[in-house]
Amino acid sequence: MNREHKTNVKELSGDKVIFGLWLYILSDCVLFAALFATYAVQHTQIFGAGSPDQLFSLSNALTETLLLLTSSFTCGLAVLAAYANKKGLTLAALGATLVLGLSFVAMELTEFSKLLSDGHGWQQSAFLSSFFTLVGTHGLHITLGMLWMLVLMVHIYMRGISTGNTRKLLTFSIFWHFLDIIWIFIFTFVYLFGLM
Amino acid sequence: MNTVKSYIVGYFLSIALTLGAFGLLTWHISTGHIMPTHTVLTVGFITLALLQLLVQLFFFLHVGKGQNKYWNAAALGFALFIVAVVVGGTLWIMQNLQHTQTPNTFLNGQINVVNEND
Repeated sequence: MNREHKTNVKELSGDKVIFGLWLYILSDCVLFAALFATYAVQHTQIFGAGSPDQLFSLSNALTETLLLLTSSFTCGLAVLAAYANKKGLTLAALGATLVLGLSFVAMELTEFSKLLSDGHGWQQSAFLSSFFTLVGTHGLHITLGMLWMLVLMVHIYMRGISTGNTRKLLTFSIFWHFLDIIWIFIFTFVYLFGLM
Repeated sequence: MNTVKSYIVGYFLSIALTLGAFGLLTWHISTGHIMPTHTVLTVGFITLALLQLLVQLFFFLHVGKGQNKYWNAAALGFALFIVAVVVGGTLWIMQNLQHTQTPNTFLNGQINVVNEND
């Protein structure tokens, strides 16, 4: 059983599906590069509306970062649990990832709704338009990722840990780690530089 | 292939790098935006973000391991090149535009009514 599973892991490391997913991730990276470039150009164009240092909260951004970093870690643990053929542990780690992801999105939506209710919507200035586009696109990725995660959990729950399910989990984990990397750059270039 | 140890080390490194950047900014704000200087902060933040990228790539995404490592790394290198062209090129061009922009136009949301050089 164990030996058979080791072969699976080896097969996965040279898998074409994983490589295809990797290419998708990299093209998504280019999409985010365009949004980052837009933000970098527009963030000074505040047109009399709030500037970054008035609108952002450092503690909020730090908590969001820690939530996402931790969810990336638990997602990695889920992959390891699947390699070790432990179904319960895999589901538990994915569940933790889901809860952390949900808390992240909840914090982001709270921040967005506060900005909107204070009159700092995306139509106010070029800075706010590019801010909502960049951070919102990331949030949308996270939300869709959580949907993906839910479907994955149902698959693993119903059919157990097979090579196919492990591969699905591995593709998901690459996607999730990638979103973590994008967030690190949002944290640095939007929040840290904005509050400097 | 992927060990728990690699994830734990990666996790603690990424938390440490995040708190490092957070600490730098808190220090900067607590001294009334004087210490450390903006140049130091800019270099510090970018260095910490790039280190964080490396930590995530090696400890979480395991770049450079597995059967496809050369193809994966080649695709990553190409994507990073495109990212550098898109971001660097945009900033370069837009900075040039702003530099050669005629006066009496919108700049940072304010109108320069009087051009002192005239």
